[in-house]
Amino acid sequence: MAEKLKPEQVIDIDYSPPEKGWLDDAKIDFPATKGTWNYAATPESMEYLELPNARKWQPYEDDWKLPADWRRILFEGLKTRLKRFRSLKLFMDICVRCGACADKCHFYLGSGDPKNMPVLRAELLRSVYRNDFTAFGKLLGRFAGARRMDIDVLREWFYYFYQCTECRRCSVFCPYGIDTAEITIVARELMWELGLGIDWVNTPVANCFRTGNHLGVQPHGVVDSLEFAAEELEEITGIEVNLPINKKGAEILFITPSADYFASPHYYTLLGYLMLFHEIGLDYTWSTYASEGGNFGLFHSHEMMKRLNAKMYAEAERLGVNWILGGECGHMWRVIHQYMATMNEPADFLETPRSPVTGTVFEHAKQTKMVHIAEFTADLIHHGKLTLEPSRNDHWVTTLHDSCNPARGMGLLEEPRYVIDACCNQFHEMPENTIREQTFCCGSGAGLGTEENMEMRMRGGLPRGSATKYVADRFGVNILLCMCAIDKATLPAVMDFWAPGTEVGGVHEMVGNALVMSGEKHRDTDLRSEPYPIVESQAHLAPPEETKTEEARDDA
Amino acid sequence: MLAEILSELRSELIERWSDEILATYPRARIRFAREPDRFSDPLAHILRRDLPVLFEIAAGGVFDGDRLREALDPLCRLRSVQEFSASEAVQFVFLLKKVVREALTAADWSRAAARADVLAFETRVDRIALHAFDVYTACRETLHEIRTREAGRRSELIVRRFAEKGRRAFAEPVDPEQTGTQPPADNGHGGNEP
Repeated sequence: MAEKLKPEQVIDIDYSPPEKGWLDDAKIDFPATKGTWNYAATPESMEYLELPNARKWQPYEDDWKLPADWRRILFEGLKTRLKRFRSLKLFMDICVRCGACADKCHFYLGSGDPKNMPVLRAELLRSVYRNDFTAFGKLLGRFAGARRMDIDVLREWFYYFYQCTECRRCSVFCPYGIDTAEITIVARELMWELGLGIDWVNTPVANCFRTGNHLGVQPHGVVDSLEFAAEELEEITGIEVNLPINKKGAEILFITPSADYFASPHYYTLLGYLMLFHEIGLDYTWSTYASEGGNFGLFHSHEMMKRLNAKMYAEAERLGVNWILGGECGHMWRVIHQYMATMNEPADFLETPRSPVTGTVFEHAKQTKMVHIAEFTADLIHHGKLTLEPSRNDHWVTTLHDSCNPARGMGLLEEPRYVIDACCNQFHEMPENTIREQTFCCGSGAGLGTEENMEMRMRGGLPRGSATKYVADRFGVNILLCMCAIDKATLPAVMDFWAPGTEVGGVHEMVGNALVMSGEKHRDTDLRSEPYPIVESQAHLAPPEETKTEEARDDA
Repeated sequence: MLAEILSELRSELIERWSDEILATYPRARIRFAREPDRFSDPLAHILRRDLPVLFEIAAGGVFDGDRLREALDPLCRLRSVQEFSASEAVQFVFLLKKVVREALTAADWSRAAARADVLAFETRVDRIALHAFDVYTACRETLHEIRTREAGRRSELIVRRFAEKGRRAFAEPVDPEQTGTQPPADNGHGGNEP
């Protein structure tokens, strides 16, 4: 057992390496590891994006139908990228294999497979780099940890680089600051040059490129969904909310993941946004073209990331808005925060965001002209611009899953907590080493959230699942809040397996529940249309007649 | 007889059992030399917490089904999604037999009473293994249910919207002069209202 070892036990440790080194153990048996990899990209979606080697194939097949000169393509591809990204060159050379990252990856913790350790995952690429680009590797070969690229190594790449969610938890602990996510990005990018990639990355990218959102929903479908949401809101609140779509000259363009319109539990967060914007009288617009926040390009290649990011700004320019407000999304924010500035032209046709309600100027968004909804709402609450009734969330005992990209990727740690604190009476943090910048990934990000990959997702979801179960058992937590559409799509599965009985919701679902709107009817359900339990603390929320009777009785 | 050995060597046997379980992992697993934190070394944490309970039940403690399942669940659940077949996943229970057999000396085996004790002990281990199968199967079933549920969640709003549109289409009064047909007569079952 991995307890603190006594001196005599330390002496007993067998330091002899296994018979077969990891460099010689590359063979992946895809049919035997069903449940831990994703299906290949379809030729249709690849052709749409003009990607090379579009063909029908699957990872479990013996013949991957690679181009004849695939080794040369990979070599040239890596050579180009080593020149283009100084960071990559550095990450290839400076790792001392100290192992600080080893037990930080959720996939390693759940699988026990050493190749899921970030250091070893990176070594998969590094070993080939050493062989082809370093003098030591060329001269000493295996002794210098170098190996020649062959079909088994390539299969190993495909297997393990699609077992990384690019969450960057490992890089928090790396003394050199090696960003293993960027190594994964480059490895995936190289594989795309051979036509190797997964469908749940490529089809969403193709769809985003074609219609503006990952499901490929056309403009009238987006309008229809939003109108439906507005109608449901009217039933719940009695208020017909303002619903501006493609409105030219609006002050703000609002962009959120498309799953917010179509999937559950995202939808309740969408209802929260609609209520909030109506209540503060925001001059804003939805767009049927920039109808997706999620940048699936981040999971694909730098090129796709750039293309999808540019689309949002093109729409902001077309509509003539002043700035962009972004919803509860994950990877959209990572791209905005870390890549956009050097990837697309500066958005100087927009203005530095300024809240029209509080007058706060969001100086930190001077460059990207884009503000996160949690910052925006926290600012509204801070200035007392919202009437909130937290007891309307008393049926929820909440905890917060810091979604990797907004939390670790852009440092949004306090804002969601501030908003939840104002909207909910019951909140409990998960243990310290599982939240904030040390947050554990949902295990299904970066395009891995598919049904065929369910076993790997459950392995990756173990740490988040057990941290949730920990607070559920101790404090009765019954909802895990988060600020990312992939979290909302995939954490329910993680909860069902590791922390049964815990729901998943968005921060702005809690805002919507608590928000007292002017002219609203008596609220007898939450945004999920679940009737409020009658509890004493909510007596003041009872219908007016009953309240009067209560008061009369009190007076008597 | 056996009871004494089990109680004397308790911690040593549990540790060996734990090592045997760790050795079932297909590739060498790192041993982190420190207290296992439930989040930074979940497997070691589970083994440290649950094996003593299972050992106690196998060694003759009260055979409480609920307590047993509670102790089996975390490890069975984890192994149900790891790279193991069903038989490999629950194999860990049987490894306790191996560990105890190896701990017995030739002198122990030569006594008939001791042999009877061992048989009784192994029967208890077998019973635990059967429960482990139940837990494992339930976990796999949950996994399949999750796949189905997830597909539903992805399209939940689209289905709801179509249902609502259909309901409204039937609820709207039809103008007979425009369509030349009569609205469907109320059949007394509330039409298409849910």
